[in-house]
Amino acid sequence: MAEQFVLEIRGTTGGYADNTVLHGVDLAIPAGSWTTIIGANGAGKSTLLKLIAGIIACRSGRVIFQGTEVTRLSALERLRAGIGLVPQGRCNFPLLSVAENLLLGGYSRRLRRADLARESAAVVARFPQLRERWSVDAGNLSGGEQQMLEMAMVLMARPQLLLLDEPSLGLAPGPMQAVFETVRALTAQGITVVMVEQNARQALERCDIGVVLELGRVSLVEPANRVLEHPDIRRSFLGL
Amino acid sequence: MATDPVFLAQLAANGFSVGLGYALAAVGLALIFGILGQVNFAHGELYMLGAFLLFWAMKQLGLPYGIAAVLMAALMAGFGALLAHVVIVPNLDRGFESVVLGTLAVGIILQNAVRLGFGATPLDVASPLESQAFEIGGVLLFGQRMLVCATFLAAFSGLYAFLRYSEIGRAMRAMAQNREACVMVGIDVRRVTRWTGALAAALTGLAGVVISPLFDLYPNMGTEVVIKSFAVVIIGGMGNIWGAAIAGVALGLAESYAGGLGNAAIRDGIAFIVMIAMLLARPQGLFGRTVRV
Repeated sequence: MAEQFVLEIRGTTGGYADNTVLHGVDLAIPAGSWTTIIGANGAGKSTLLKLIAGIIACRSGRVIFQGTEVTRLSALERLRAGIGLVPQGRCNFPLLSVAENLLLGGYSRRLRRADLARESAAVVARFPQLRERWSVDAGNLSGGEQQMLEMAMVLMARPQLLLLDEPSLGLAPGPMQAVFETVRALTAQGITVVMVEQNARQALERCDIGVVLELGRVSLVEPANRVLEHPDIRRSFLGL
Repeated sequence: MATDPVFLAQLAANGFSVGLGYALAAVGLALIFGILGQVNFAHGELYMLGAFLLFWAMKQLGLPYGIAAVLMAALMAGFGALLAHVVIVPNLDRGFESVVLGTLAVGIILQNAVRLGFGATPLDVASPLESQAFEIGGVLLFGQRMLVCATFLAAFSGLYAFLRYSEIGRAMRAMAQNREACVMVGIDVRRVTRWTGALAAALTGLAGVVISPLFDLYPNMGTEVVIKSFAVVIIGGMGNIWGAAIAGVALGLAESYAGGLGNAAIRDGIAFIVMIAMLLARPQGLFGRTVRV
């Protein structure tokens, strides 16, 4: 039974210093699915992703990944186990080239340099626009290209579960489409994607499962098309 | 007299060798700032500790200068890793004040521990090159000063190769650019922090080994060094190790010419004058803050 879900979260609480943001989150994510988490500012969306990735500690409850409890594992151990997070905003090495950024993306795997170079060529095959910018410093890429680069960097770690925090933030409609198309292609290859997204309607129109987070608790988990039709959601989050 | 070319060349040789010493003494401070974004207020005491460890290894263990220097660099690397682990790692996500206070405390403890162990009377450490000098075209070159220059060259080319080609060196350059991205790709930032502390302390201790035979050893000897080091790091660009090298040489030359051609009294003020002018006109320093190789 547990094998159907790549990720299970049971009654987790967490937050920053004396500010508890998540008050008992329960969530189960099927393998190979694309889930979008929506919710108001401060609902705890980013905090939930950081808690799954092990960036912030889980104060109570459990996080189970591929049937194994990872609640006490560090962020690095979880990355090695197969949970990768692309944080919100720009998160790359701006003074290094696209090629060097990708090599660093595979840092956690302790591969030889020749193997790393071969893998980065394979990863970048999914991102044609990065191949053209191979020797350009990451800081000189456009916002959309940097988002693609960051996804490619995390893919170098070979995650089974990819967490994306606001991947379309600050992107024009064109690059945003490209990001969503890339995510769909990744799930087609068996990678499970959980994303937090402000462009809720565009994401829900494409993804499999919609999750609504309110005041640190999951208030709704439904197939994405059902969430789109939900009258309260349309009013509160979709502006319809 | 002042325009005598041999005299001017002598001032240049003196300034250059003193300046490379400043650069060597400052690079550890620049490394910790550039890679970890932290200010190490125990920097001067690392230099002092290196000099006293050298004294101890030579006097108590009876080791020759060269072997004592290697032993000292290894001990300093271990101490630097410990300092980073105890003071910097737990404070990586806090404001810089925590590390400022923590390293300041370590500096005070080190000063007083050394005073307890060795006393406050100035000591002298002997180097085989101390009394050596040779002459090129009327310009005198002193053996120990030449050793400082050679050590600078070896240390900076070794540092360059380490940052450029080693696995941990690449991680250090990555951390200088974006620590959050390091966490994203699985670089162990605690491990990089310990390595940075080890490297910085070994280099600072090495500066103490080659420079201290020129002066006396006493528990507060780090104070003068730390002031010059801060000046060099601020002038060169906070955390920029190549900027620190160039600023060190520039400061050494400026002091040498000011002392030789002008008034010896203003020589020690130059570091402050340039530092204040730099903070007013170009606070990012000559080359800005990056550890780029």
